[in-house]
Amino acid sequence: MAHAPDKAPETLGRGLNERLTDAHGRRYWRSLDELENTPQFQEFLHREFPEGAAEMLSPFTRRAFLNLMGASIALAGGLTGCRRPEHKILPYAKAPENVLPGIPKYYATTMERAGAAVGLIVECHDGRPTKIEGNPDHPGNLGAVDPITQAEILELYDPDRSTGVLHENRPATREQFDAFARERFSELRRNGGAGLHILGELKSSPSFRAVRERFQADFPRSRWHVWEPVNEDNVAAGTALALGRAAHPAVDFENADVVLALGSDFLASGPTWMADARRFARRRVPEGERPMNRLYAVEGAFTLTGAMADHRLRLAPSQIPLVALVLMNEISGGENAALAGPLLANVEGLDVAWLQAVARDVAAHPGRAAVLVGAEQPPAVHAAAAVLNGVIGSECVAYRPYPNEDYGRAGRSIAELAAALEAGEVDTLVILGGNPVYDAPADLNFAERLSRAAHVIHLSYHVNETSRHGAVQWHVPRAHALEAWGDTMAFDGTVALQQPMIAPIYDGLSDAELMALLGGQPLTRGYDILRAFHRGDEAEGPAFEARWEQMLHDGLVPGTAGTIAALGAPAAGSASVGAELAEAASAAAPTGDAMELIFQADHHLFDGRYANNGWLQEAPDPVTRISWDNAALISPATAEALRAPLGTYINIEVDGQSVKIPAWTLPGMADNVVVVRLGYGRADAGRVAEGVGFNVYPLRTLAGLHVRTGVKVTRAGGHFDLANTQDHWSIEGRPIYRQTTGALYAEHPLIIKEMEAETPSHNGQTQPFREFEYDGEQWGMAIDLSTCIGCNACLVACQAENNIPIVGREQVNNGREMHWIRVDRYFSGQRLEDVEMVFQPMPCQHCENAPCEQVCPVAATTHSPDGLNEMTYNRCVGTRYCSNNCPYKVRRFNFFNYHEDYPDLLKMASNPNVTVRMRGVMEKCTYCVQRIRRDQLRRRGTDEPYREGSVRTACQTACPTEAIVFGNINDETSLVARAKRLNRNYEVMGNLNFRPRTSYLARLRNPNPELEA
Amino acid sequence: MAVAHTNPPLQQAPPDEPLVAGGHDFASATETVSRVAESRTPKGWYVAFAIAVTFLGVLAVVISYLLWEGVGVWGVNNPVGWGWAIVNFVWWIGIGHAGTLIAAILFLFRQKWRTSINRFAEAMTIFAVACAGIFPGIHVGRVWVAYWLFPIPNQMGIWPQFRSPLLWDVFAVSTYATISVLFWYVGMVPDLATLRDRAKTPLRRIAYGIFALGWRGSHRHWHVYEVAYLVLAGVSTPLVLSVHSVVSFDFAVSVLPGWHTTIFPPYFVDGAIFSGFAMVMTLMIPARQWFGLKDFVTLRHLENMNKILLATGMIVGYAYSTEFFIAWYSGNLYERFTFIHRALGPYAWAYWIMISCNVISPQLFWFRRLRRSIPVMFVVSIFVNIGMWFERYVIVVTSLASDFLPSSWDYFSPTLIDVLTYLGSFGLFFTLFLLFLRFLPVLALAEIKAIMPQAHAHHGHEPAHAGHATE
Repeated sequence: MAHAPDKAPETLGRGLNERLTDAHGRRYWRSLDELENTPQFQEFLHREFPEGAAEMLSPFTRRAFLNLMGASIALAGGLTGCRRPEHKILPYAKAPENVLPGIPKYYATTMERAGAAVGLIVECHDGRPTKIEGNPDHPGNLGAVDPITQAEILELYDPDRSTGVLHENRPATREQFDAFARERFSELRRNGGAGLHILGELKSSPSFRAVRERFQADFPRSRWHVWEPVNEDNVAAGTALALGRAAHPAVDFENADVVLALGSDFLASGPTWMADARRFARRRVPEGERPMNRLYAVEGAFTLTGAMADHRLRLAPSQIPLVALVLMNEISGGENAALAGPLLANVEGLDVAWLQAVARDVAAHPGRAAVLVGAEQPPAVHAAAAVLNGVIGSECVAYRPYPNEDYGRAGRSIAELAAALEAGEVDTLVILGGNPVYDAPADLNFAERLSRAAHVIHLSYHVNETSRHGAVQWHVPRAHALEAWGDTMAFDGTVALQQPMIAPIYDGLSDAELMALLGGQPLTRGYDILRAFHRGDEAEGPAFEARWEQMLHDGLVPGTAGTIAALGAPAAGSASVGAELAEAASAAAPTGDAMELIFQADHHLFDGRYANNGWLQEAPDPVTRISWDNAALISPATAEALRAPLGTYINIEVDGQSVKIPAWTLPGMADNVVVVRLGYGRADAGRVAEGVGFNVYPLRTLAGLHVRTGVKVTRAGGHFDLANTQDHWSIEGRPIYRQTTGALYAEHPLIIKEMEAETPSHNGQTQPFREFEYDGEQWGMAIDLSTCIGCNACLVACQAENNIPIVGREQVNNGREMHWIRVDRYFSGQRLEDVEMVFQPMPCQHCENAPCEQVCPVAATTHSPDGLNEMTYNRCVGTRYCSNNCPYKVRRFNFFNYHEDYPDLLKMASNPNVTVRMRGVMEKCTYCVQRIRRDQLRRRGTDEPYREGSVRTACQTACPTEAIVFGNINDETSLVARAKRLNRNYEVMGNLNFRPRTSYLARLRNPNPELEA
Repeated sequence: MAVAHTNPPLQQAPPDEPLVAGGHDFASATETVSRVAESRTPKGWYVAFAIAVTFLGVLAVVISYLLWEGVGVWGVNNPVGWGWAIVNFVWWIGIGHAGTLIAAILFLFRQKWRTSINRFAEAMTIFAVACAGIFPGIHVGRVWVAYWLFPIPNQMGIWPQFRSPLLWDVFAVSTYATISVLFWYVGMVPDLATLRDRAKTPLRRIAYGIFALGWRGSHRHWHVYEVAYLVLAGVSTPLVLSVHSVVSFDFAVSVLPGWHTTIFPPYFVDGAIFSGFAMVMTLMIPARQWFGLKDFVTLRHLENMNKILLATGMIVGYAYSTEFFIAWYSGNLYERFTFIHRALGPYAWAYWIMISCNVISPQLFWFRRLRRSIPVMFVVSIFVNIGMWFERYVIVVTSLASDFLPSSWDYFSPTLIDVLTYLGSFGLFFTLFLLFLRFLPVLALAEIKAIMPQAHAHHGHEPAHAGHATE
C-alpha cells in the first residue's frame, strides 16, 4: 500500500508514512518507537536478562532517592506541629472560635512568577496549607491553576529549602547578618549608595514597589536591575516600536472568531495563559452561544497551542517574520508588497496559498480576529502584530502598558549589571531571589564577573548555584509566598493581596522585608509594610479594618480591576515597522549544517527554579511524555538525517559552546529545528534535582535568549534512557479517541456515535443479577476533548489532593508512575510531517459493570450506593488482578512503601482527609470521594439537597479550560447529565458493556473550508 | 500361546515388551528398589543435594528480600501486573498434573505400565505443587494478610469475594495438594512397611514404622488399602481436570484480549499434562540410570510416555491455532491485535520459542527410532519444559503488556530477583526430590510385584512371556 505522499522524506520517514496512510481515515498512533525500527526498538525486541539485571538495582536507587529526602528529617526537627499566620494567631490553649478540627479553612491569596500574577484560594488544615486552587475572581487565571502553582505546596515543604543564614557558605546567625547589614548599609548610605547594586526578579507588587522607591530615595546612587530568564523583552520592545509604549497584548478570546498564533504558545505558556486558555475554550464547543472559533498556528516547535490549532504550519522561527510580512502585505492591502516580493522569491517551500487563505479569513473577521506572537519572535514581529491588529480593527486585543517599567528590560538590565561588575563598579550586590549564576545569558560570564563584587548578599529560597558562588558573602533564606505578606498586580491593574497561610518555617524574609531591613526603613515586617501601603492616607480604625478584612477575604483590592487602560491604535511608525520586519524576514532558513535552536521554558520546571520539586519533575512533559529529564526535540526527518533515534546523544554546538543532550523525535516539528527546555541539569538545586536532565543555558546568549541560529548539531553516540510514561505503539484504528469537524457534526449529529468499532457489541446482554437502582446521587464525569489542551493541571491537582507519592525516574521508567489521572497523547494524520496531536485525560472510569470488582478475591474494590467504584485500602491484599482486568489501566499499585521515607516536612503537604497508602495495595482515582463525603456530612441531618457544584473534583477545579465536568448524573439538569446527553458524548470502549461513568465529548475542529480540500 | 513360543521376541509388537526386565523375582525387585533408600549415600547425592540446598537458600534469601522491600523488586509494572511469579505458578502446577494423571487416571484405566513410574511421578507432582504454592502466596502485595483469601470467619464479618477466580484457585489448588499428598502417601504405606521390615537401625525402624501405620500385609489391610486407593484415584481424577481448568479461569474469566477465551480450560489441562509428562521424562531418564532402575523403568515405559507427549503436544498446537482462528473469526479487533502482536510484536521471540518447543519438537516422536532414543527424548522433554514455561509467559505477559488502550502499553523486563526466585524454586523442588530418592521407596514396589509374571497363577509355565501384563 505504497501511497507515499510526494514529499515524504527518505527511508525512515517514508516507511512511517506508508504505514500511516495504510489505515482508513483519520488514525492515531502513539509515539514513534514502534513505527520506527530504531536500534532502541530493536534492542527492545531482543533484550533479555542483561537489561533486567540492571533493573534489579532499582529498589536501591529508589531507596537512595527517598533516603536523600529522608535525610532532612533532622533539618525539619525544629518544627513543632502546625503553625498559623503571625498577627492572626491565638494559641490552641483556647480553641479558636471558627476552627473545627478536620474541617479545612480556605484563604484567598496571590502569587507571582516572572511578574505574572495569579489569584489563589488555599486550603489549610490546622494551619497547614495543603492544596492550592484558583481564585475565580482574579483576571490572571479566572479560577484555573497550573501545575507549577499547585506544586508550590510541595515547594513550601521542600526538605531541601534553605534553612538559615549562611556566611561564606557556613551557617551563621541572623544577628550576625543584621550586624553586617547595619554596618555595611550605613556606610553605603553615607555615599548615597554608590557601588550598591540590586538584582531583583520581575515583580508587579505595588507595596514592594513602594519599599523599593523609598530605598532608592535613601540610596540615590544605587542601581536596580531585574533579571528573568523567561521574559517578554521582545513583546515589550515590539509594542514600544508600534505603539510608542511597551504594552502587554491582552486578548479577549471570548470575542475572537479567528486567532492566528505566530510562534506563540499562548495556551500553555505566557503570563496569562490560564485565563487565556479558559476564555479560548469557551469558544471551542459547538454548544456555545457563539460559533466555534478558528485557530491558526505557525510554529517551529510543536506546542500545546499547535495541538489545538485547526490549521498548523510548521516553520522554523526564523521564517515566521516572513510570514508576518506576507500577512501584513495581504491584510493591509499591499502596503509592504515592495518588501515582501523580493524576499518571497528567495523562499522555497513557504506555502503562500495557505498564508493567503489565512489572511483572507483574518480579514473577513474585522474586529473579531486576533494576531498573537510568541515571545521567541523578534520585536519587529510583535510590532507587526500590533499594526495588524490595528488594521483589522481588532476589538479583542487590548494593548495595556505593563504594570511597571521593569517589564521588558530583563536582558538589558542584566547586561548593565554585568558591565558594571566587569568595570569593578559594584561594591555591594543584593540579589533578591533568582539564580543568575545558573540562568544568566552565557555570554555575560556572570559567574566569573560576580567575583568582582566585594560584598554579595543573596536572598534565596534554596541554597542554589548562586548562593554557593564563592563571591556570595551572605545567603539569607527567603520566605515562600505562602509564608509572607505581599501583593501582586495583574496585567489589567487588579491588585491582589498575598497573605501567609503559615508562619515562615525557617524564618525566611520576603523581598520587601529584606529591602526594608537593609534600607533601615521604619517598617520592616511584611504585614506592617503591606497594611501601611494599602491604608495609604486613610486613618487606622474600624472603617479601614473592615475594608482590610474584606480585601483579605476576597484576596483582591476593590476598584483596581481594569485600572490599566488600553493604549489606542498604533500611533505611527507603520512604515518603520515594515522596514524592521523586512529586515527580520530576510533571515536564512535553517539547514542541516546551520540549524535553529529554540529555548522554551519547561512546562513544569519553568526556568529551573522548580527543579527540586518532585511533583513537577515526575509530571510527564505534555508533548513528549518524558518525565524527569529534558531532551532535544527534533523532527523525524532531522532525526533521520542525524541518524539520532530516540534517546541518542547529540551535540548541539554554537559559537564554540556545546551541550550534549539526548535527542527525541517529535513529529510535526519543523525540520532542522531543535527545541530544548530550560531548567534542567541544575548543579545545586537539591537532592530531587540531582542528576536530572541537561543544562542548556550555556548555549543561551543575550542576543539569542529565545532562538539561536547557525547551530551545528551532530550525533554524539551513546544512549540515554529517558523515562517516558507512555510507550509507543499505534492506536490500531481503535475508536478510543474520536473527533470530527464542527461542520460534519452539525450535518450528521450521530457521526460520533457511529464511530464505534466493528467489534461485536456486548451491550444489552442480560445480566444474571438485578440491576442496582440509584435513587440518590449517582456521580459521573464528562471530559470534553474539544477543550482539553493537555496541560497536566489535572494531573498535579490530583497528586496534591490525593497524596500521590513521587516514585522517581527509575520507577517511572519501569512503568510504575502513580498518577491517578494521566493525560494520554495521540498523534493523528496522514503524513508524519504534519501530524495532529490530541490529548485524552484518563482517570478511573467508575464502570457500572466494573471488571476490577468481579475479580478481586477479597472484595477490596466494590461499588458504593452512589455509583463510585471504591477501593478499600485496608482490605486490599495486592493481587493486582483488578489492575490486570482494568481495560483502561488506570489502577496504580504501590510496588514499594513510597511514603515510608518521606521526611516530616514533606508529610505536612499531605491531605489529612485522604489515606496514605502503604506498599502492596492498589489505588486509583476515587472521584475525590473525600470531597463528596464531606459535602454529604455537611448536609447530613438537614433537608438540604445536593447542589450542583458543591462537590468539585480536584482535576475539575484545576482545569484551565473547564474540560472536566463532574456531578450527579441522576439529576437531569446537572451539567454532567446534560453533557452526557450530547450527541458527541461517547464512552471509551462503550461497546464492551463496562458501562463507564466517565465519558468523553468528542473533539471537534473548525477547519477553514478553503484549506480543507 | 504357542505362537509366542515360535516367534522370536523381537518381532512382537512393542506393547508386549516386558514391563519389568532383567528377570527379577520378588526378592530381587525388593532388593533393587529398597537399596536406593538403604545403601550408603552415594557421593553424587551429596553433591546434588548441596547444589539443590544452595538454590533453596537463594530462594529463601530472595523471598525474604521480596517481603522486606515489596513486590517492586520484581519486573512487574503497571500494565503487566503479573509476571514471572504467576508464570512460574502455572508452570509448576501444570507439571504437577502428570503425577496424578499417571497415578489416578491410568490406574482407573488399568494401564499397568504406570506402576513403574507412578510413585516417581506423584512425588514430582507434590513437589511441583509445593513449588507452585509458593508463588501465589508471595506475589501478593501484602503477604501478611494473604490469609484473607481463605473463608475464615473473622471479626470483620467479611467473606472473600466468591466471584473471583483467584478464590476458586485457592480452593482448587489446596484441594489438589491435599488429595495428591494423601494419594501418594496411601499408595506408599505397604512399601514403607517393607522398608521398616528391612531396616537395620532402630531409628529407621521407628521412623518408617510410624509412617507405615502398622501395616502388616494382612488380607484385611490389603482389602482396605485397595478400596482406599481406588476411592482416592476416583477423587483425584476429576481434580486433574479441575485444577488447571480453574487456574485457566484466572485468565479466561477476565476481560483481557488474549485471556478472555472459552478454550482455556481444556487447553490448559492438556498443556499441563504435556508439561507434566515432559518433566517426568526429564527426571526419570537420569534417575533410572543412576539408581539402576532400568529394569523397572524400561524403554517401553519411556516410549509410552513419548507417545503421550506427542499426542498432547499436538493438542496444544491445535489450541494455539484455534486461538488464532477465533481471534480472526470473532471480528473482535482487540483480540485480533493481541494475537498478531504475540506472533509478530516485541514478544515474538517468546512466542516462537513456545511454538518451536511445544509444537515442533515433539513431532520427532512420530519416528519409532527417535521415540526410543534416550538422548532425543531427554532433549525433547527439556524443550517441552521450556516451551511450556514460555507458553505461560506468552499468555500472561503479552496479553497484559498491550491490551485495550495503547497509551498504557509497556514492555515487561524481569529483574534478577525474578530469575533467582524461579531458579530458587528448582532448589526447593530438587531438595525435596533428592530427599525422596534417598529416604522413600522410589518405585511402587507392591504394585510392581503385582504386575510381575510371578504374581500370576500360571507363572512358571511361560517364563519368557510377558503378555499377561496387558491382559
